[in-house]
Amino acid sequence: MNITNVFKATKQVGRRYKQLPILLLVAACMVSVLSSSAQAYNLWGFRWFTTPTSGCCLNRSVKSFTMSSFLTTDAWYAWTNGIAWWSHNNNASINVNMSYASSSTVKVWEVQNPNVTWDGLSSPTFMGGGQFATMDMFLNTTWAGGYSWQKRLSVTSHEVGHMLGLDHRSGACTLMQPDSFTRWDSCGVNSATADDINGVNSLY
Amino acid sequence: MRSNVILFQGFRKLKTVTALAMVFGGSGCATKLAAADQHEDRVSPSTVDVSPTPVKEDIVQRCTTRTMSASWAEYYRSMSELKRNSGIGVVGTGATVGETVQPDIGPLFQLVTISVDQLIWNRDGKADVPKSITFEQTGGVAAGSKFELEGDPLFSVGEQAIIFFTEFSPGKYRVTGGPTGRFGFQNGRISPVTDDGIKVAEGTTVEQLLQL
Repeated sequence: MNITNVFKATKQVGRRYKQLPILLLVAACMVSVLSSSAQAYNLWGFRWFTTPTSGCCLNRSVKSFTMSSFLTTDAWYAWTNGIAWWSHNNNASINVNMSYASSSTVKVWEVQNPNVTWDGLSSPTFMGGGQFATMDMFLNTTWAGGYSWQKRLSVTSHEVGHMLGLDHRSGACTLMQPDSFTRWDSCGVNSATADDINGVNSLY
Repeated sequence: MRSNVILFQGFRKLKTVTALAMVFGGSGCATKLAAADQHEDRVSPSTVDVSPTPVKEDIVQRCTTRTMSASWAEYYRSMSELKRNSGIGVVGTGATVGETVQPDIGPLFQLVTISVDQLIWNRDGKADVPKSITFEQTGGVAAGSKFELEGDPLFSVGEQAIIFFTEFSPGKYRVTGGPTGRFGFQNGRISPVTDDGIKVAEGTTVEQLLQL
């Protein structure tokens, strides 16, 4: 190695260190963007006003119907699992039960409607003060009937997310992604992600 | 004197009934409160009870938008996907919006009929494209409130739009891709119904839209 090469090598190291602050700045920006998007859940603007029984959580029962009358087996399992996942997730401050109560403020339904392109829908009514009064959730089996059970679950879990007070969130692989193709086929999401859970926990 | 008072009260009632009819009747609710809705999309109606002597503020408060939210089976973010999945695309004008229907099971809906002004996409070279197309829109007006899907506002009479359709059975059409298959079209200006679908730059023409 002659003196010219040593000089060149020293110069390159110097350049590298000069770029170091810029690289660190870019890295810091990326970390900031990523961490902020992890907290980017959207809220619908309404919540259930309930009296906590255990000091913290939302307790809500959901009325369903017998398989023989309104819900087909596939829809029954989709709703049951969509609700059960949220209930059994210890990270979310909720307790949602599927029941056969004669009356309930939350109901799940199955429809077959080829006139529309939604596969699931949540229809609330409201009380004053930013509170849900009732919620009807529909699974459209014109579309969901042809889905795998995992994709069907992505629809019912998504609707339960609405029922809890979450709004859509596009541009990220979360349960509240508005379309089922992106949510399940592209992202493989059919249960709440950390972002969805953070959203629910911010409400209850 | 007494008869004058009764007459006066009668006029007051007539005015009240007229006001109620204007606001609650048919799509009037949506039309009358369009400006208010722009400022406050998600308003919580305080009550649905009708007070004996309603005043304008009460009526306005009750005729609010109630948002429903959907998971979409079809939802397109590129024009090539939308065209691939649509039989036809048209520029159309809202001719009629039917009464709001509340089915036994399912959300409210209305039947909308548009007159076809221009055929802009015909994937399969369909020969008998109808002059008017009727389709179902989820939502409607009931109990003094406008119900509509988040990101998919109700279509109204006289509104011009670019809409892509799927003929799912002979003579029956649905909007392809929900809100992503519909674009506002006013004075040549194209505006997507939802921000989450196909992005359209200001000044885009119909021909350019199809090439996106």
